[in-house]
Amino acid sequence: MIFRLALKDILHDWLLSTCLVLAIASIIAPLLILFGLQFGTIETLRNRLVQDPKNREIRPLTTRSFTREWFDTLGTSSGDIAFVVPMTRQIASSITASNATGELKESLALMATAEGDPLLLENGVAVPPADGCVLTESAAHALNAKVGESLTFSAQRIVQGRYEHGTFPVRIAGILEERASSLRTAYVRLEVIEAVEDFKDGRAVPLYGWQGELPTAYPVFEGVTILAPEPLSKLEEVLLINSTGFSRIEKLAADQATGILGYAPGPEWSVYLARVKQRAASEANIQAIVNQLRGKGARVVPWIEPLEVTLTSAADSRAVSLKLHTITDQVGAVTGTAWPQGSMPGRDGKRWPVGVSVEESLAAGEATLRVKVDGRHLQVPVTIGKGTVPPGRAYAAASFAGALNLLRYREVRYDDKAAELLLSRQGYAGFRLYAATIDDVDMVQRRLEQEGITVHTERERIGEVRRLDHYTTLIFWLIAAVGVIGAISALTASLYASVERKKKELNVLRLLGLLKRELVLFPIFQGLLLSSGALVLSVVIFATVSRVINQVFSDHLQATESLCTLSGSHFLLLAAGVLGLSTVSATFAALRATRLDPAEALRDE
Amino acid sequence: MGEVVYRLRDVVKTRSKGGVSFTLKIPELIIRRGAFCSVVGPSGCGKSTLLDMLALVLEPTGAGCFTLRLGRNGTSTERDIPGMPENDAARIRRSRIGYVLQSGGLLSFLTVRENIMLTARIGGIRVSPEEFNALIEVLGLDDQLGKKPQHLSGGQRQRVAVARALIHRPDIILADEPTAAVDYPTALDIRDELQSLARKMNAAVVMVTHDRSLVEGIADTRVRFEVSRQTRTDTLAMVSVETGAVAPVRSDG
Repeated sequence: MIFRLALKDILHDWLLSTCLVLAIASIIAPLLILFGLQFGTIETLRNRLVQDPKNREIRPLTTRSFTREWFDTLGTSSGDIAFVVPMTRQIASSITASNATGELKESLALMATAEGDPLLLENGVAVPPADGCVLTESAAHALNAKVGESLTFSAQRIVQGRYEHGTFPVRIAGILEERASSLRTAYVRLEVIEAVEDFKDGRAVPLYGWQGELPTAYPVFEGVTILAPEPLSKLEEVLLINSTGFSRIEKLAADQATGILGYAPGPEWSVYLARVKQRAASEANIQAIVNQLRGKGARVVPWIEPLEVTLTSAADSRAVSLKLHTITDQVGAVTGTAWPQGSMPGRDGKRWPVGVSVEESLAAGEATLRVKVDGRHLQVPVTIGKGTVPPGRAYAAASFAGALNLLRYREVRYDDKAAELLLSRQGYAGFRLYAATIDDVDMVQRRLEQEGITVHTERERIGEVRRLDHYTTLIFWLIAAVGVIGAISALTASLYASVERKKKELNVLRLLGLLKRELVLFPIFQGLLLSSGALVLSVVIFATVSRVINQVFSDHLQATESLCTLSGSHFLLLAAGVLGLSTVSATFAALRATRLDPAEALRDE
Repeated sequence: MGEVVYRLRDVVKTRSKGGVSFTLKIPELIIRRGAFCSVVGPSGCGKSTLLDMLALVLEPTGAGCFTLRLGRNGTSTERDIPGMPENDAARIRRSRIGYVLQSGGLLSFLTVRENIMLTARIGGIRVSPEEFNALIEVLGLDDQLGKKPQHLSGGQRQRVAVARALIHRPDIILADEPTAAVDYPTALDIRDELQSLARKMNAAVVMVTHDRSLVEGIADTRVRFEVSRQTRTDTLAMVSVETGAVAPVRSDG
C-alpha cells in the first residue's frame, strides 16, 4: 500500500519527478556510454588479437640445431602448443619461381608447413600436399598466378665455380590472404625445403634427380675381433689398445665365441676382442689394429654388438627376429665354414645379402630387414641366403652390418631411389611454432627461454592490450565515482526536500495510524521508482548512441564487432548498483521522516 | 449512553517554551460511547493539548488515571494511556479512532475516493460498497469522487475529511474545528451529520470548536476551560465538565 501511495505521489508531482529522472539519467547515461566504449573497444582489439593466428606465433631468434627428438617431446609435453614444424636455415630456403609460360620470375622464400598449420587453416586455406604449395597474395600477384596453376621452382648453387640449378614443378594449392602475411612466400611441405637445403649444400637429392654428394651411411663398429694363430703376449695385448682408439682387450674362451661373435673359430686360434669405450670405431681404427698385427698371421674382423633385426620374407610374409653379426671372408678361414657357398656374395642390385641358418623357417630370397634402436627405425630390402649359420643368428657383410649399426648413434634412412643407406639430417635450424591460445604464449615463451632459446612473440602486443584495458578501466572508474557521487547527492537532496515539503501530509499519515517503519518506506520507494525510471531512460539513450557510434565506424568494423557495447552482466550490475545506491540516499530522507511528530498535523502553523 | 471510553482523573500536562509555561489540568473527564462531547474555549486555552492527549499523540506530564476502553463484540479492555508504546498507539489510532482535521488534511495526490478510503486501508478494515455509497450520499459527495483535493471547495474538502474519519467505523471520533472553513448552514449540517452517524455507530464524538452556539443544546458532555495567569510566565487552564441536558442558551452577540 505504501508503494501505491509513493507511486501516486510521484505521478501527481509529475513535473518534478520528470526533472529528477532526467537529472539522474543525465549522469548515468554518459557513464554507460563511456564504459560501453571502453569495453567495446578493448573487446574488439582483444578479439582481433585472439583470432589472428599470427599473434600466437613463436619464432626462434637463436641459431641452434633442434633435433627430431626435441620436436617430438615438444609437441607432446603440454597442451599449450597447437602446432610446430621444423624449419631449415632461412638463407637456404629461397628459390626462384617462374610461371607456366616462363615469362614471370619471382624470388620467393620457402616456409615449412604441415598438417594442422593454424596460419593456413584459420585463414581458410588447406595445407598443401607434397607436390603443392600455398602462395601468399603478394607472391601470387607478382607471378600472376591462380589456384590450380603450375609453377616451376628453381634452386641455385655454385659448384667449382659453375652455377647449377635444381628445378621441380609445383602446383598452387591455395593462396593466402594479405593479412596473414605480406611477404612473397610459398608454403611447402618440410621435405621440399629439406631437399632445397640439401641441394644448396652440395648434396644430391635423389627425389628430384638432382646430382651431388650422397651422404651415404658409413659403417661403425663397437670393436674388433682378433684371431691369432699363437696366443699374444701381454705386451702385444697392451700395444693393441694403445693409441688405436680401442680401450680394452679380452681373450675369449672357446665357448664364449659363438655368443659374442656369432661364429666359433677352430681350437687352434686364440680369440681376442678389443672394444671401444664410447665413440664407435671407424675403419681407420681397425686399420690401426691391422697395422699393429702385421706379420703375425692374425685375422682381423670388425665386430658390432649383436643387433636385433626382424626379417620378413617376401614369399610368405613370415617374420623372424634374429641377432645380426658381422662377418668378412676372413671368418670362413677361421671357422672352416663358408657362407653360404664359397666366398661371400656381393650385393645384387639394390638388395644386400643376409645369411641365416638352413634350419630357419624363413624362405630364401627377397625379404625386408627391419631394425629399431632407441626409437629410430630402418627398413631395408635384402636377399636371404641359407647356410651354416648358428640358429637364432644372421650374418651380414661388415660394411652393410656396420652401416646398419650406425642407427645406434644417429638417424639413418634408406633412400629407395638411390638404393643407398643415407645419413638423415641431424637437426633443424629453426621452427614455426604456434601456441594454443593467446594466454599460452607467455608460458611457452618462458619454457623455451628456460631451455636457452630466445624467441620472438607478440607478447608485447598482447601485453599492450592488457595494459590498455587496465588503464582505461581505471580511468573509467574514477570518472564513474565522480558521477555516482553526483547522482546520490542529487537524489538525496531532492528526496530530503520532498519529505520536508510533504511534512504535513506525512504527519497526517502518522496520525491516521501508519507505523514509523511503514512511513520510512515512503521515501525509499520513491527513490527506487525515480532511479528505476532514470535507469530505463539511460539504457534507451545508451542503446541509441551506441548504435550511432557503431554506424559511424562501420567501415573499420567487421560484421560482429562493436565499438560501444556492454554485456548482460554489466546491465545487471548497473541495475543493482543504481537501485542499491538510491536506497542508500533515500534512507537519509527516511531518517528525516521518522522524526515527524504526528501532533503537528493537528496544528495548522 | 454506553460504556465509558475515556476515563481521566487528575491529568496534568505542562508545556514550556522559551521560559514561558502553560499547564493544563483535568480533574475529571469521562466520555462514553454514543456521547457527543463538546470542547469549547478561546484560542490558547489548551483545547488542542486535550485533543492531542485523547488522540494518543501526546503524553501527559502526570496522571492519576488516564485510561481508554476499547472493545468489539462485547469484550473490552481498559488500557493505560501514559507510557503506551508508540506502535500500539498507532495501531489503536488506525482502527479505532477517526479524525476530522481542522483544515481537512487531505493528501493532495489522492482522489476524493482514495482519500476517504485511506483510513480503511491503513487499518485493514473492509468497507462494503453499500456502506461507502451511503456515507457518500449523506455527505453529498457523489459527484466529487474522481477529483483531486485541489479542485474542491473548502466545504467539500471538509466533508471529505469527515467521510475519511467515519469510513472505518471507529469507536472514537475526534473533530478539531471541523466547521472552521465553512458557512453557518454547512456547519450545522456537518455537526448534525457527526452526531447522527455517531449515534448510529455508537461512537463517542469529541468536537472542538470556538463557536459555542454550534454545540449548545446537543452536547451530552460539555468541556470548558478556565484560564488564569499564575505568574508572569506561567498560565494555568482548569477544565470543568458539565454533563446532562442543558437548556439552550442564546449566544451572546
